[in-house]
Amino acid sequence: MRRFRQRFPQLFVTIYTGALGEAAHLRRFGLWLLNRANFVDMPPGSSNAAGILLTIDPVIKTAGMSVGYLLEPFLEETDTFECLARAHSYFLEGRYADGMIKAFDQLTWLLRKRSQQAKRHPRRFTGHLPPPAPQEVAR
Amino acid sequence: MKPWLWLTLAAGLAGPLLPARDTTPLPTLSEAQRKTMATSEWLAGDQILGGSTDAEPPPDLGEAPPTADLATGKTATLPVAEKYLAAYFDTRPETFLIDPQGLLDESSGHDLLGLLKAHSSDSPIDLFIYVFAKDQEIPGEVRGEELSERCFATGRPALLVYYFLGAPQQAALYASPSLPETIPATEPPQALQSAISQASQAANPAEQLHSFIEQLTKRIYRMEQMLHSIAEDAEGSKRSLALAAKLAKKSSSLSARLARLQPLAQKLAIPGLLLISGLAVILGIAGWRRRQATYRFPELTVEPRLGGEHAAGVGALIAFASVNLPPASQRQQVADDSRRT
Repeated sequence: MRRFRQRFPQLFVTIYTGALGEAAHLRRFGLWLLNRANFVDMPPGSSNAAGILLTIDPVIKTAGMSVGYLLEPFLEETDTFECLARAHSYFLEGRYADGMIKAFDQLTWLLRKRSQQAKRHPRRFTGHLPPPAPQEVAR
Repeated sequence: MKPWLWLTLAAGLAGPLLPARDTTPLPTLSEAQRKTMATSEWLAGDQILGGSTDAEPPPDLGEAPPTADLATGKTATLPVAEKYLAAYFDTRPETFLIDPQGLLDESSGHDLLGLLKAHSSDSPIDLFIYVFAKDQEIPGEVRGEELSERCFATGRPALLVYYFLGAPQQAALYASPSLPETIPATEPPQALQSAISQASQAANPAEQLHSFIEQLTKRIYRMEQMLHSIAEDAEGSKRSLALAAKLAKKSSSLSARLARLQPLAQKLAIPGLLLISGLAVILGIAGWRRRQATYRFPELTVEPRLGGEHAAGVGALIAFASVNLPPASQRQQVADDSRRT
């Protein structure tokens, strides 16, 4: 995680493991945690929008990966699925730590690629931008 | 004093000292008793006791019986009749059992011919059996070696056997010139001896011939096996020799090439080393820079959704409950409320 932070100074990764029970859905829990949590060991000025959250529920045997708004234009849901798929066989055997490392290796590779693509072809990712506000169009 | 005089004197002195023996006197017969007994019955010890010495001459048994030739064990023989010689020895026979005299009965001949045909279909070496009677003699002008050279020089390799019905020990075996020379010379005589000993155990002549042929075919099969192994060995040694020659040629050509390239290599050694070192340094620096590189993303504006200030819950969800299903089958689709528009 420290290496990840060195390579991607804007971003941070965080992991939650635990049983959620029937009270919450894993995806909604990810949404809630990334919006509401206060990560105390983050550098001042960091925003949760730059976060990547890996959530693992070993009881219902489900894992999810949520990203903040900063990465939304650059990562598709398929990309996050690829990261989880790399860890799948390890999660099946209960080797969660190894699975996390594999997932973050894949994520690192993807983010490096996307960063280079964004640098070379910035217009490629404009399609991910939300539509402009009506007043901007009028102007 | 002379020794013989000493002996005579000693015997004369010792005689009265020896004890007297009980001796039974021999019976004495009067002349009349002797005649009576001689005419009526046999008189024991008659000739010893000085009776009549008139011995009757041995009875005349006629001509002397045929004597066996002790060297060959053959009895008196008759030559094969001339009318059969052509059928036996003129040409290469068309059948494997040659019996123009009809010495074998029909069923035995049929069985034995079937046996020989079956052998011929299985084996590359044919077996021809010339059947003669026990007391027959092959004419001197017919020689087995000459027959095999004259009639069996071409065609399939063959073994010829002169077999005397009822006397397997008289059988003679000849090999055709086309029989491979790789078969050891000792093998056919050994096969013949083995067949003879096998035939000798059978009771009647037809069974003897059957056993003889069976054993001989087995030994011929053994010869074939030897031929195969010899051929394989030869092939293997030929291959290994060819391979060795090829390798030697290759190594010699390689060494010649190396010798030619040696001066060039000496010239290029230092620049090459420098080039390789430079490349290694460049690659190392590139790797180090890659490891140290930092990556940034442009901060694009994204419309907040679901009231989320920092995130809208975008991301994949995967279950790992089943070992049998692939990850794609255990993927949980994104909820519609978190999907970006």
